[in-house]
Amino acid sequence: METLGIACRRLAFTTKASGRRISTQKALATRYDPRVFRDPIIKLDELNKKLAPEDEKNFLYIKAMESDDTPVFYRNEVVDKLVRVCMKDGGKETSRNNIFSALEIIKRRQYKLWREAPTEEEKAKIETNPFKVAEKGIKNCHPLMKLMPVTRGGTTYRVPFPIEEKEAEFRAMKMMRDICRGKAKHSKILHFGDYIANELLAAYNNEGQTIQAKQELHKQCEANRAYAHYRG
Amino acid sequence: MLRPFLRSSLGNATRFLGTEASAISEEDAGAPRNLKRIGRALETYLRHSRENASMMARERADFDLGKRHLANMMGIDPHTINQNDIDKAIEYLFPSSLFDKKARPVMRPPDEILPRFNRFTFDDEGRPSDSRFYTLRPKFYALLSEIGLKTYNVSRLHAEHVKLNRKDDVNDQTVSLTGTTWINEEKMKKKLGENITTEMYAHLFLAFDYLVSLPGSVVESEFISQFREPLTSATASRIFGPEIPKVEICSKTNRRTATASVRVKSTNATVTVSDAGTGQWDIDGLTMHNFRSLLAREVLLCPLIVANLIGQVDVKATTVGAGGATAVPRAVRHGTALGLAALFPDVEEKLRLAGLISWDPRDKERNKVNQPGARAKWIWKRR
Repeated sequence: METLGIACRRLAFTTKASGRRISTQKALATRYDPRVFRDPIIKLDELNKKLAPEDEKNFLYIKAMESDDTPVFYRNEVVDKLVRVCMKDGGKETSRNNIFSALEIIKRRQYKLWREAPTEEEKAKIETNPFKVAEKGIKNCHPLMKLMPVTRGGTTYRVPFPIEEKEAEFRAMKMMRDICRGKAKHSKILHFGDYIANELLAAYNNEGQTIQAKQELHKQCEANRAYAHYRG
Repeated sequence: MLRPFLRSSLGNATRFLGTEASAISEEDAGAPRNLKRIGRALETYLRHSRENASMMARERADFDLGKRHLANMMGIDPHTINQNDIDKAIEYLFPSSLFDKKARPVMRPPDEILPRFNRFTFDDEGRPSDSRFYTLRPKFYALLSEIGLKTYNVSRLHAEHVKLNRKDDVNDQTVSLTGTTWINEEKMKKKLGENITTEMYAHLFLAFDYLVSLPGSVVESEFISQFREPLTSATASRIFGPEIPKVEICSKTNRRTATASVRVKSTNATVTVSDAGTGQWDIDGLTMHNFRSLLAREVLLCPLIVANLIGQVDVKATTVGAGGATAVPRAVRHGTALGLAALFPDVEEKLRLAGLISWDPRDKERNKVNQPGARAKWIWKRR
């Protein structure tokens, strides 16, 4: 009861861009009883395999599949996550259109490069699959460390912390998103999707502002390594 | 019957008290009281036992009489009236809209409703034959010590097994508990026939949890399973939500069809899937390409992708409710999946594992007064 009271008293925070209040409270209940429900299998190749006889999914309920988990052939986890990170005010359809238009731009540019390449060896080097370009671009932007504020003796230090793969992916996407949003805000010609395409292609070649931002972060982490003992 | 027996200190066997207690009370009413040698506790127990037996006899007679009155009122033959008829009659005569079913009027045999009276066995000197009698909760403590003994045995067997360096896996396995849970406090009380507190219940399951955590506890799985119940209780079905519909054959076209009624949020959909089709869609008169959102089309096609049946069935759906571009396709998806599972039983398991024939119970949470949303709060300002 006490923890519940504390949770209720926690303040919601306002997002800077839209002024919308987002609740920071943890979900107190779920409609799916965790003892009876298991997650669905959403990959087609796993579905085609036979389930092990001792698997709990044989005799427990399965949660309904999420509507954005349909096993279509172009399903890509990294691109889906990028769509979610770039989403504003729950407008997933808009965000998806933006990202897919960026992928289309990448496809056109890479195809043009491929068509104009003089020799077969050079053609073989050019990646024309936009999903692979996006994956590698994001992968190149993964930071190795993160900076977290830690207060010691009234002073707040920015302390480098190790980072997990999933979070590194998120931070890479967030850096890219913020850079592209900033640019799109001041442009009257190009849109968010165009900037994302530019950034992804640049990051694919280890260039561009997101890569710079990553290197900047690494430098700061290096500079603040003396505070590392404040961790934990 | 018992009193003279105690007085004379005769007899050579323990005797079960109270089953004929109604007869005792009649007999003992005029008998001289000579209970000095019997402890006060036993005296009280005997009195309670007698009172309970006579009360139960009275209640049983009342119930039988009431049953006959009820049968006359409802025009049923009093000799053939059963509990089902009684329940229906009570529901008809005393209509109640109280939400809690326990608060509604019932008429059931007194043995089912009234609390059970614990009867104990005594030796020929009037002492309880089981020393746990003095704990006041003999069955509870008996179970607790049984668990203790079993725990001891399991750990001893395992220790031997380790010492001998045997390689069979039976003595290493813990009992499998997946899909089941411990029975709740109410059921435990009923099983023991004793009134135990929540603390006592917790004690019991601390002991149980320790037993099942031991390697080799699989040898006691039969004992443990007496105190567990399946999680997906009541139904044997592994499908959450509406069941798979029956296949019908259309008399005109001679095609097999299956119709399912489903709900997502406040949208109700009736979906008919017909086999030997060409992949046509009719959702409230719209085809699939009228849904401009890519996500909506993906959701609609999802069951067909999983079942690998694109272009082989026709789907016709009608929806009622406030649903829009997201809820309508989700409802149609659920109905389509149920129809496919009915028409093509070999894809049912695949659809189930993909979570397509499960009902999505999630709903919009209501907004709260004095808050901007269901959970979000206004920003606190001093002035």
